Amino acid sequence: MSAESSPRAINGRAPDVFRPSGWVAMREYSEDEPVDFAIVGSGAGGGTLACKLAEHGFSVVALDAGPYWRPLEDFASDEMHQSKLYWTDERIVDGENPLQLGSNNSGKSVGGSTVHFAMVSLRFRPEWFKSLSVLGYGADWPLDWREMWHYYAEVEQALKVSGPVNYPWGRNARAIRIARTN
Amino acid sequence: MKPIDMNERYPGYNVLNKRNSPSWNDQTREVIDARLAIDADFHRFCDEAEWQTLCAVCNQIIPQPDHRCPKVPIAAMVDQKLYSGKGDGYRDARLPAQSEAWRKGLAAINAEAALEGGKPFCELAQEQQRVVLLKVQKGEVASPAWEGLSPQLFFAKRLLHDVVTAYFAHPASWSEIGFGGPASPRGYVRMNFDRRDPWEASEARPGREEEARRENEHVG
Repeated sequence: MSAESSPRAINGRAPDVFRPSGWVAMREYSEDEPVDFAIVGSGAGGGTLACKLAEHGFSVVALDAGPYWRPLEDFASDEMHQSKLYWTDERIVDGENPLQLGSNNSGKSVGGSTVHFAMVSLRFRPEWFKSLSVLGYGADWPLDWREMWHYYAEVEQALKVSGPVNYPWGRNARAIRIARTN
Repeated sequence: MKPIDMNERYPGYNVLNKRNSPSWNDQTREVIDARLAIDADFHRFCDEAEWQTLCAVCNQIIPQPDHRCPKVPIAAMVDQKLYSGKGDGYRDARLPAQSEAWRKGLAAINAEAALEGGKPFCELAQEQQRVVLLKVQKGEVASPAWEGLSPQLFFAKRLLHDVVTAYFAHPASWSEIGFGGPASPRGYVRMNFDRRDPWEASEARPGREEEARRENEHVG
């Protein structure tokens, strides 16, 4: 059954993305049943939040516009083919020097853009939290970078963000060494 | 200008030799086979005049070696994209929607060709076609057909974007530039500098062309 033609996550189960044809149990609520939270968008923000709320005992539904993919069966490793993951409704870029965006700004799938974000998500550098006062542009954030560091660690674990074991900036900063072996 | 045959840099390399190797799975074969089956003459978005112009423009932007078989059906791939109506997800506010930009742009290129050589673009000599496209690229156009469409922006942001994207989505161009093609399910193993996995193309550096050719015969 094609992911694009009919919903897969129904009848109390959702596709197991790690096993071909596999399923995992999914809590389901009827349309007239009240829930604690309804989250629009199941990507890096919405999906992670839905998970955390559910783990704390709340009833949660997450809404998304795209298919529930089975990566092991639905994907070929080909850029043009995988453009089916992109949400390509038109966004207008304007201004004096309009940015050229990519097609992969967001994803139209259960999982949002995490279906194609390549597990890359960089932490802010400490000075960027004080952009206006230290660097002279933008705005200062109302919180200190140290306050953010453990949140970064938590969300990187939740999203399985890839990167160096020791971050090259911020707390315990260590320059990245790239080993060359022959 | 003689098109550079990049196969000289990756002698003997053909990404399609991997079709039945562990590098490809059923999903890969299905997707790439469909792309290889695109009929180079098939078009549904363009009318005949637009189609002739588009084909000539594609040949001028990315000339392909005469001996290459099959050639990348660039015009048919662009037509397919325009017919599908699937956009890029963003649009420069200074340009109209992609289908309108292409219709207007192709008509204006033809109008510019008429001023340059008294013929439709596709009937001009190669050198005259080149002159017309250079004028479009630089915005040095004379035809009123460009009214409401910036020739430079159309050339850089629409025409080149779609033509180049189509070209590099085809296995013939992958073989040309030594691109390995679909990386999954095989995956990269040799991650060190200057090492290639056995499924990647071998580059013919000066003096080791034959070595590269031998290696490329075993890429799989």
